[in-house]
Amino acid sequence: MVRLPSPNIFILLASACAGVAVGVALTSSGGKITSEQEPAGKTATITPAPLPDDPETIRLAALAGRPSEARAKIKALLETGSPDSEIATWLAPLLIADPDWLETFILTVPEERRIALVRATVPEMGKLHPDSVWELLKRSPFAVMAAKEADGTPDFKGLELFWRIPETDKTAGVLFDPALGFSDAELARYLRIKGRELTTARRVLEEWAAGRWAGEPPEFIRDAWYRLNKRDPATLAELEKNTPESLRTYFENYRARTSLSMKTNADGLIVSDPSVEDLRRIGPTEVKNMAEGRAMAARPLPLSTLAQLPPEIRGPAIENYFDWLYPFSEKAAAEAISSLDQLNLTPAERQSLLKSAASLTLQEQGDYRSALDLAGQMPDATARAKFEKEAWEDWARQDPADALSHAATLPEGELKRRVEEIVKESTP
Amino acid sequence: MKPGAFILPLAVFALSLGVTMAIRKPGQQASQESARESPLPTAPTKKHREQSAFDQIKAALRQGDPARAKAILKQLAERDPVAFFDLLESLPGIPDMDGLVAETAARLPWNQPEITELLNRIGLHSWRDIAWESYGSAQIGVRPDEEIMDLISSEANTSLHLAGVRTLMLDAAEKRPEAFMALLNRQGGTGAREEFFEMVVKHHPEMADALFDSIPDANPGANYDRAYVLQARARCLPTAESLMATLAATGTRGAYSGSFSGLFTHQAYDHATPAEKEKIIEAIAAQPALARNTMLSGALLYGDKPVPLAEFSRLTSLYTSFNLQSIALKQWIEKQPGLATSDRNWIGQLPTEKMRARAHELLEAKPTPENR
Repeated sequence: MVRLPSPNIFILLASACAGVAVGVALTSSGGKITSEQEPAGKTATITPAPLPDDPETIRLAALAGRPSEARAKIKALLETGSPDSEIATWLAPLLIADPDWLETFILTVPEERRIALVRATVPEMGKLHPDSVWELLKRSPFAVMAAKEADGTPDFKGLELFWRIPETDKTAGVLFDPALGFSDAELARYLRIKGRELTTARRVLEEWAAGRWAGEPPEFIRDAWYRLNKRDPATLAELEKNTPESLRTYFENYRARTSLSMKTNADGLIVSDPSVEDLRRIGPTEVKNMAEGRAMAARPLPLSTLAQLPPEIRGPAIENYFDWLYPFSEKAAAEAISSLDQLNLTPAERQSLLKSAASLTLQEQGDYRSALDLAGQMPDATARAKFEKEAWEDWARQDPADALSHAATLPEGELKRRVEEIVKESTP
Repeated sequence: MKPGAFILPLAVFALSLGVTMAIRKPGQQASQESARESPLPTAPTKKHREQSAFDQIKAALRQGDPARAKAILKQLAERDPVAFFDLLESLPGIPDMDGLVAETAARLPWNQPEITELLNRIGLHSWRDIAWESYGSAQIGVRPDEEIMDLISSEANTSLHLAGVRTLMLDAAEKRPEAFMALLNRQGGTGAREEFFEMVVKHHPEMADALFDSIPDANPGANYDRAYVLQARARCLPTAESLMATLAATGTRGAYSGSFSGLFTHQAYDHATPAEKEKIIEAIAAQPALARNTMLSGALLYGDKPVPLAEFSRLTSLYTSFNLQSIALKQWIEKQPGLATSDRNWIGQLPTEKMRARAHELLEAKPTPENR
């Protein structure tokens, strides 16, 4: 909260805000068509011609501000026990034109159907007019209640339903409105997939700076930062100024990572590798993300560079080092493996790398011999025995003849016996 | 406070009110009715220049005459494409408008922020996608491909994947595939190369190798897209020759790949003509045991449809592991819920004694209506 310098400025600020609020109220219709208000006298003398009984015509009339026929349809459908999916197609245009009507209408629906019906209608509205969905939430307490329903449809709980609705520039204002009371957890769930709009990205960062989602920042914080940085850096700069110091370090990491990527890229290609110091500066999460992106780009971060970072910074990147390298970068993977002995890694890291290389060699190359060689180097004896057993058994099932011939090199014992047993079972 | 002290706050109020109202979008003028009822002072409001057309259209809809609404809309579109889309922003659902949306969007001026915003405000998703597609396509051959791609991928808020650039890609796939692939490679990223590849090989199947090879190392998304391009290759060029080339492109032990060998074999086999299926089977039979087994599992285990019995027998006879034959048998039976457990005649056609015995076992264990 910014400390205001004097009472006079506060009054001016309040006046300005009042002006904006009034202006917004006067010009806001949420993009919906409002019903034309006919003077009371007129409706008494002129009845409009009846509509043809055509669903499309009736729905369009409802959208344009003539609700009676569509409402009658819904009443009839409720009485005959029609499914929500059908009723929703009539309810959607009505609520687009007149979201306030929901509070009255919903009382005419049997109580046990109300939430489900509204949840079925939301995607129908979204198909026609995304803004209207957010407008509905803004105006209808019942809709908000339905949005929070965790036992919703089997596939979409709570705000997940709104994954099916396009996000608009109205979304953030509605979701983060304290009066509507969506919880941190619910919003985090929504933002797992959504958050593409710049207004949302901005609001997400503001809310986080103000203390929402305390602790390690969720993924969407990073996504929001990157989005704003790309599309609206001026707003981001302003926002960063108002972010508490402790949280700003994350932004600094993102920025350092972005600069680093730009430094190492040219014309769509990665042309150089970061230094140890470069990586140290961006923190473990960013190092891990960068490592993954580089592996996916078929130019992995050199393992020798990672190995020079402090263990707490390099750990997550090391764990996933071989992801994306098989099969298209098998040469790079092989080079990394052959360099393991020269690198200053912890036993746990060596174990993790060997395990992952051995598994991928087996899985992606069908090379049991090489996989077992790698397993043989594992420092963790228990893990090694487990891997060897599983690899041999798999080999015996997948290629019994070859497994049997190589089993001749095994010492007499339980493993060899087991392999021979499975080979026998697997011989056609 | 002294009376004079109110002057400045009031001025600020009026100023911010006026500024707010002036910058609000013209399409929301429909709510001016409610402004009349407001007790607060109203600033002068601007009606949309086509307000009367908007009113007529809505009146036609309320009267149950969508045909007339459409006719007025068509005239509006011809006269004032921007107003047409302004109205469309808030009037979704009128049927049979796709053509008019496309025609009108094509006439909008290229590369202006207000136009981008206008298109992104179209409520109905399908219209929005159509509008962007048409808007971009109107520039094919007029603006450089890269410019069209850049504008649409960065600005268009479309819903379907690649909406807006699909026509451009199709055009490029037919007429200038190498140049466009080079463009995609410069952009990097995922998802477009795979689709483009599929479009190209329809016209130029001989380019399959070159396209795949063109994806460079050190390119964001390269390994991700390579996998998808090869999958598209297996599916679109379902011949034995192409399958083997696809597996070779996968790596030195491509035919052994747990992630890809089975998948690509399935794609090729599933889409192949009977003649090519025959060749694929021959190619599989020529592989070393482990590769053969991996490819066979691709042909047998993916997908929901069971292969016909004779084919099943033939394929499973090529396995070098009874364990794998057993898995294939179990799945094959499971994919035929209608197979009566009492029907055993088909078992005689299975290639080995062990398989026949296993088939009996599996049918014994299968829940029947009686023992469920």
